[in-house]
Amino acid sequence: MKKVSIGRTLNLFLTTIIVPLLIISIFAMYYATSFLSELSKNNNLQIAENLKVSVENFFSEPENDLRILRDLLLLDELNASNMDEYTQVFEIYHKNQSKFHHYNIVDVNGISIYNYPLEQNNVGFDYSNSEYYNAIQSGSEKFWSKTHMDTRFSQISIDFALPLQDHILTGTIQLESLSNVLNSILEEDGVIVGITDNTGVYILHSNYTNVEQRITDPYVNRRVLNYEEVQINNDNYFGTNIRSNYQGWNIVLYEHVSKQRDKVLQFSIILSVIIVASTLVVILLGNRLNSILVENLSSFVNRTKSIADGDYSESVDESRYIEFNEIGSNFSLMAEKIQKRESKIVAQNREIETMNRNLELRVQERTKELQESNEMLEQTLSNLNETREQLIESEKLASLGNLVAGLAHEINTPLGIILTVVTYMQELTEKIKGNLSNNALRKNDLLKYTQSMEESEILIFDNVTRTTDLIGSFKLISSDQMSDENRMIDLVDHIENIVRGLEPSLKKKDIHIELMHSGSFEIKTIPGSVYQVMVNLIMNAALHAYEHMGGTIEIELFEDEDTVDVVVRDYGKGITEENLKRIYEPFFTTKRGSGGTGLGLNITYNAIKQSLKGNITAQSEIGKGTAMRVTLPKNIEEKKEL
Amino acid sequence: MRQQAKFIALLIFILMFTACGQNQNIRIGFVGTLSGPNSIVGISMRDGILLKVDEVNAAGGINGQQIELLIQDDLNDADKIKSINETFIQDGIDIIFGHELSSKAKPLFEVIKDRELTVMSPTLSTYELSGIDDNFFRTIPSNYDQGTELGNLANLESKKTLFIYTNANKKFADGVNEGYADSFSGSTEEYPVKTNIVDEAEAIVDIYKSGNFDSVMYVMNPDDVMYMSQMFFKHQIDTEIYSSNWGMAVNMLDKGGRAIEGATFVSFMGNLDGPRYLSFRDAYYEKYQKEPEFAAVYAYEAASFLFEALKESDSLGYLDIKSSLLNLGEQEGLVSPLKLDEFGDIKRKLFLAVVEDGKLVILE
Repeated sequence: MKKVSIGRTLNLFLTTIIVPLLIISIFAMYYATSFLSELSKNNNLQIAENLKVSVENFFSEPENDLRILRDLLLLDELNASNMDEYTQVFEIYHKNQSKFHHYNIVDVNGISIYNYPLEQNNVGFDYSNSEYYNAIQSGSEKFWSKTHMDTRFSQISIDFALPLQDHILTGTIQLESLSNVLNSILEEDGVIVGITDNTGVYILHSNYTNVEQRITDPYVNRRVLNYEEVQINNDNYFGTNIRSNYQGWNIVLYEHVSKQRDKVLQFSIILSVIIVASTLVVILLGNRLNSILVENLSSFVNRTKSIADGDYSESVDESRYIEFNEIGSNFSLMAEKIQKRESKIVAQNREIETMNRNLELRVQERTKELQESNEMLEQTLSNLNETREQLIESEKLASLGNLVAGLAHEINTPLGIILTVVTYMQELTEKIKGNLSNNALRKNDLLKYTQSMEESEILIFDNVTRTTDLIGSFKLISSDQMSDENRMIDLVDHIENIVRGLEPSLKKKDIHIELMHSGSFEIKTIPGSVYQVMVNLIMNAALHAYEHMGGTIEIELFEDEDTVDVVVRDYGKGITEENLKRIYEPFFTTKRGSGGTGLGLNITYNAIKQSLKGNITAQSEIGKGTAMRVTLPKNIEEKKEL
Repeated sequence: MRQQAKFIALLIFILMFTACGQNQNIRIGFVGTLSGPNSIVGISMRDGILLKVDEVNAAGGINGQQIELLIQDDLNDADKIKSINETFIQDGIDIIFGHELSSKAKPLFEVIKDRELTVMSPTLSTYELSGIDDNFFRTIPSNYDQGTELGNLANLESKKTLFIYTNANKKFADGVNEGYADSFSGSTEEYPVKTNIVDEAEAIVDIYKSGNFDSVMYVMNPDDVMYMSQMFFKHQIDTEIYSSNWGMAVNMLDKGGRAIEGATFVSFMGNLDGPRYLSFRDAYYEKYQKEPEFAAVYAYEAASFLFEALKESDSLGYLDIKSSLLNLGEQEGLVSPLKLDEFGDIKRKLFLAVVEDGKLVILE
């Protein structure tokens, strides 16, 4: 795991504060820009609307004024022949208003009949082609002209005309004077405010030059501006224009983009200052916190080093922070306790070392003792194994003993017969010899003798043959018994031979064996092992099932596809369930006192499992008997194990 | 600390970052009289070129460069004219447009003579400048030709003409007067208006009355023409009125009323039914809500001519522009074709227009 310092972690923590702060600021700026823009737009529109109202009010005043003049003129029922009275009225009137610069009255033909002030000298001029004349003649109640250059005064002017009975009264306003009056509205830094006549030419403008130079507003005649960025004199402005219902005049307002930018910039600067200040505060506080932590912690670090080096005397520097002091005093307490514990541990360690040394000696002694015991045990085991081998061998020999006993019994009978016949023959021969020497031999006696001899020979031959057969089978069995080689055998014959060998001893116990099979079973197996297995099973049944009661042992053979089953069944007393589980254990016997070794079934089991690659199962029921089923492969070489 | 420093730097960067940078514009100086009693031609001229500039800029400029028109009001004052032109040159302006009156030729040439810039005027017509290989170009025939046209007409109607002209534009007036005198078989007398027409009109009437004149010839601005005519009308003097093109303003005829009826003006505008003129007129009317005066038409034409030349010019250097202007060949004007000769002057047909029922009608 990568190790990092607290300082760096603290920086990371500060970063997690500063980054969101910056992100929020950027969003704030973005939205503030939109907001300020919308605000300016509405503001400009409002200014334009106000201006519109102001202008409409402003121009409604001279309209009313001129109407008053007209009413005055009409009231006095003046006529053109009495100019002095006109002049008196105009003088009084003109003193009380300031909008109009001069006035003119034209007659029905458009010819000027009077003007005030009189110096204008345009009486007699023809205005019949003028817009106002045509408009009033066409029935208009009033008419504002376009702006025009008033030649006499070199002033951009605008005329207001009213019908005066069949005459027309006009007043002329010099726009420059209006500009002065409207200065307060028109002047604002970075903002162009203007009013145009219905042709788009400025009547009023923040910069009067635009009025003087008869400049046409570049946009009012073409499109409505709603705080859109436009160019004026190669400079960018946000333009707003609205049309007044008044004479088709337009109010235009252009705010220099820099003004908007200034607002954003101003906002940005304030925001930036706040951000920078708060960032700095965070950094400074963070650093201070960092240095406090690092400074105090380094004292602890040094202390821990000292403690690690075993120096418990050094104390932590006094801190002005309660928490660090508390940690410091805890640290000292901890050091003290560690020191005590360490001393205790050292003492205990010494004790343990001593104990360890004693223990080691004892272990060595014990080990030695154990080794000796082990050797003794090994010896005992070896002896036991040897004894076991001997016992197994004894078992083998015991079974051979049974065989030999049977064989001896079998051979004994024919040999007895032969002996009897031979004795009889000797008697007959002696009798014949006596008769011959006595010449008392009769033909009939000789014939009888010969006949007896032939009969005796046959009898001897039969018994000798029988004996030979018995010995042959004994030889085969005994040689098998000593050999582990496998070969093809007829299992039925083999078992019959075994049974035959055992019959004499079984007869003594009044045991009768019944062999049941459905023909011959040729199998390839180890005959010696089969012999040993069968003898053990039969003798076991004879010995344990029937004890000395006598009974029948059934040997039944079944054939399967690859295997042959040999079931040795008795109808004796049976084996308890508990004992049935243990019958294959070595040295397990219920006849310990009666000379049982407890190895018979163990050997049998091993022989079947290991040598014959077969299987053995036992079923038993108390009082009903036991069935031992031995399953053997038909070909031992093809079957590893069943 | 390093991380915080980075963020502060980023913040400052964001705050300080403002996309700036301007395309290189083609700057053209405009000089004309835009205020005061003689401003009507200058204003029309300005309105005409502004319309053209707007159109060209809206269409992407000249070879991608926008035109920036720097407009200056010379107040019809010689010193002001000189100072404006000098400032333009000092500011590295390569092209100057305007100078509507012949009276401005003198101060203008005092500044631009042998200087490396191109000067174009749509209306400065003094014939003294004709036939000179220089850096001055114009698209209006000379004033002498105007006088000749009017003189030829006066021969049919008049015997004695009072020649009333604005002394401030004497150079122009002299040309017209010479042309008039050379073609007019009757006699002429001159009256230069030295202060202003309002103050001198009565005196002029008296001179007229006492001089047995039957006609007047104006070389004055439209306002003065209208005022003087009203004065004759007021005094019930029925006189033939002739005027140079300077006095003609379609939007000011209302000021003349019946006083200006029958007056004959030199007009540079013949056929006003052509599609090019009508298209221009509609655009002009849309922008200004008034009919274009001849100075507007000529300014628009001259600007078109100049801008075509700029498109072909290798640079804004005056030699390149000159070469381009002279090689441009005949261009379709708004009212008649125009082509510069080797001196940068032009030959165009002149027309005469008569006021009938408050409107100008071109004489066939």
